[in-house]
Amino acid sequence: MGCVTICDLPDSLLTQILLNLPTKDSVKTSVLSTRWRNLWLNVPGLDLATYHCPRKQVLASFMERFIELNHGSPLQIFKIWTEQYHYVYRDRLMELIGTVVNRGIQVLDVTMLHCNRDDFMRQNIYKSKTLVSLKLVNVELKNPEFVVVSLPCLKIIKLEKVCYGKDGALIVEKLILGCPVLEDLELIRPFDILNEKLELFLRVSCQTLKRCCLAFARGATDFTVEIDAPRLENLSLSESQSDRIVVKNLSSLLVIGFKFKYGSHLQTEDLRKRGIFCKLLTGISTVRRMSICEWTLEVLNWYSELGPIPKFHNLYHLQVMFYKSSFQLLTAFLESCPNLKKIVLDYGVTSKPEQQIDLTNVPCCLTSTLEYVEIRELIVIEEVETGIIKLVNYFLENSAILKKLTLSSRYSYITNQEGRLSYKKLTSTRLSPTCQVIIGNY
Amino acid sequence: MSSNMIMLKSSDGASFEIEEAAARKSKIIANMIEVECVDEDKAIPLQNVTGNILALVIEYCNKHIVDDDDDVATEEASEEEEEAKKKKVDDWEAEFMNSMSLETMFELLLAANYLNIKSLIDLVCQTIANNIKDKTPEEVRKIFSIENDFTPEEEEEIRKENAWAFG
Repeated sequence: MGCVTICDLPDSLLTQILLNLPTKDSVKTSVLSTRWRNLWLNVPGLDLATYHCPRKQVLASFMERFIELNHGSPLQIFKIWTEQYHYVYRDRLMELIGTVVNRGIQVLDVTMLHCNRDDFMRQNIYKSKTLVSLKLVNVELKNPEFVVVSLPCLKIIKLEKVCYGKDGALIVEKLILGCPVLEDLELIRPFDILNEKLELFLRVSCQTLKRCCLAFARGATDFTVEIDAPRLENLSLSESQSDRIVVKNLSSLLVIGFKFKYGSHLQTEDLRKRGIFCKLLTGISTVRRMSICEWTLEVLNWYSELGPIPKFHNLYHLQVMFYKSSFQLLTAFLESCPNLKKIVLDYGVTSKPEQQIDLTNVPCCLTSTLEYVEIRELIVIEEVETGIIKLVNYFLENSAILKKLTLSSRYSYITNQEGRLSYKKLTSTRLSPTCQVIIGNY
Repeated sequence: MSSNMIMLKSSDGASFEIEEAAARKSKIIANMIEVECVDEDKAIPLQNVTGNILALVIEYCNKHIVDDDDDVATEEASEEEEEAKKKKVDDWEAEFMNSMSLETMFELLLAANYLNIKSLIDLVCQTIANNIKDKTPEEVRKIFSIENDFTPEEEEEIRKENAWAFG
């Protein structure tokens, strides 16, 4: 057999290769040779960005021409990243997206750099029989008033700033209800009602949902969410408040990330709100992995003074993000994690372990189950060195079956300059004699 | 647990033994097994695939033997182990593709296409595409030994049609 070259591949495979490229690169192959002259026109997808083509009208004309020439073959993928310019261009673009939706689109990904209320999806988006993945950023979704939402193949939804009206929550709810096979839902500050202080209530009720990520607003329109998703395995909440998550059914949950807003417990004095948080804690008590932040610890601590915190019997992996560091809150929470195996402490660049920490409290997971400790992103400077040593020694002296303790940082401070944090300063009385201590950068 | 073994025979007469579960990654072979065209002691002849390429296909299939349909088996494993496993497969794929020449890649793609192994087609297409991305047409011609059969005037004309892409 002679030497096989790219020219030995059939057109169908060549267009499949081109489908993996941004359209700009695909178009450029038209000058390679006569064989490649029109191949790019048969690629069943477009992937464009305005930084590839500074003249928007040219880009709009290109897309229209592509869709016309490519007529007959279905379009699988349409991705566009765009800045907004003249309204004529935006109008053409929205019209065009309406057309591709009718052409059997599977992946639709529209990212606008800025929000502009004139850009809205055509109503046919709610009736696509082929759509599998929908991602919209800064594109308005309007109320499907005259159509029944039916998206039989849609598995992935990612929406960021898509609703600007009072009925925003209702629109998203209708969308979710119209997706019988939805697995992945990401809502990043989905609602934005300017100049009005409104409380929205969103119900996420979905039998098939496996992953859900909700990022709440900071300052702008906020919302309360009720989650009824019996198959949900992975839930991530950020910038949320302790009384904003109403849990109905989370019986399959394995992983939770919950990062509360700063001071989010201060407004939750009343019993009803306390009840909501209690239900949330019970709802997530089966998780195996948890990722929280310091503000979450504060809420947990505040709550623990009012009522018991459930035990997280399945939890084996805990990650905590510290901002100013309040290690004591953590040791208190660890009492609720009797089977913890691994703990990761993330210090932002600005936070540092306290100098004066009272480390007399030793939670039971240290003496029985904890095997791995990882402390990340520390900046070792003289004034905090004692604090760090204290922290490390605390784990070394109290963890009976510890296998590995890692201190790492992306920044070089940790080991350079005469090895500020030297092994010598660490305790020699390790409870677990076989424990490995690693200090290094990654 | 031992699973069924199947014999595959390449176009140049080399025989390979492969687990049925791995062979089923190929829709063509899976189909043959369904309709019982497979004689237990006879090798399945694959006329369009040479031995050295078939060896690569089999290596790939063996690595991916558990992924799609084994949800039940992996449920017990911790997410961490799963993550590690996924990373391992990703690393393996990167290494696997890295180790071969473009010529081998084309042959592998043709074989994957003939045997209808969707994930392998996607992997090879992506890798070949990475060799085109952000390159000028001249560089692409050089990498893939594509002979330019346009006259300079013709080429200029095509560039003008979509001048934005060449900017």
